[in-house]
Amino acid sequence: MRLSWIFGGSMEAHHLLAAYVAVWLIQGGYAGWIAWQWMRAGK
Amino acid sequence: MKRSHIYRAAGMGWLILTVMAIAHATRLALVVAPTEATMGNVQRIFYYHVPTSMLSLLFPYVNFAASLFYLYWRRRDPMRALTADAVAISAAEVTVVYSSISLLTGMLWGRAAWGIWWTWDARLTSMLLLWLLYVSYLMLRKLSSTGQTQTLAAVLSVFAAIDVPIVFMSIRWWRTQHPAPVFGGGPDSGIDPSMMPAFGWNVLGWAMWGVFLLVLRYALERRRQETEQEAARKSIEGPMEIAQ
Repeated sequence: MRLSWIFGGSMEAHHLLAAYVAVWLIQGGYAGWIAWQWMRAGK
Repeated sequence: MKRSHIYRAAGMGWLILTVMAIAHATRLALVVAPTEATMGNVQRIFYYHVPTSMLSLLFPYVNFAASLFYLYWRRRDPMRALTADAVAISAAEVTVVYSSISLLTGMLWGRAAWGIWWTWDARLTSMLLLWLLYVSYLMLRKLSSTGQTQTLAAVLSVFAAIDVPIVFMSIRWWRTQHPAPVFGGGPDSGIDPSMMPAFGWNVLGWAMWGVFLLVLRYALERRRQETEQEAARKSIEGPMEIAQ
């Protein structure tokens, strides 16, 4: 199955893409925050 | 070989396995799993929403258990109590991360499937309450300056944990807007076997990621505690040396 439908114009495509992007942003943002704090605490 | 090097190597190994599991899970969810008959492709949010929601009901128990250990050890063994407190705050933060994703992905799915972003149904309301309780826990820890902050937070954690079984049972006790349990919800519950690999790998991948975040945050908190203890020791020893 091709992935092109994710970037289609329908509401379901937008919401699916938004959900996956939100998950990665929140998880990546939190991991990045911990890494930044870790470097600050080490100084 | 130094112990810190072993921990670092184990952490890197765990992270690599986790990223591989999540990449495989994402491919299964977006590419391999069949399109659901009634909802279409938006149902693929399920593969992130349900595992994340399950995990957001597990991490509060880590916080709860660590808080109980803190309350038990705080006078008997303060050093052990600090270790338990570091686990407690780490689990609370991971709970907020996972419950935020659960709420957000649920709203995105609800808008597409039901036509509404939010409704005050039993599952959504109890989940929002869980999120608010753990945000309150973190705000208490950040803003309180009583000197009893850790004890107050541990007590709040015990009360917050009461909401977890309510969230879990809400779709069994009350039949409102949220769908019935997918697993263990009666003879009609369950998903098509062709969807199980995508679901199972997402549970595994996000559970491994949650454990990674928990351990990383715990290590950060322990480092902070050691820095504070060192600063406190210096502030006591400094005036004593001057006095001598």
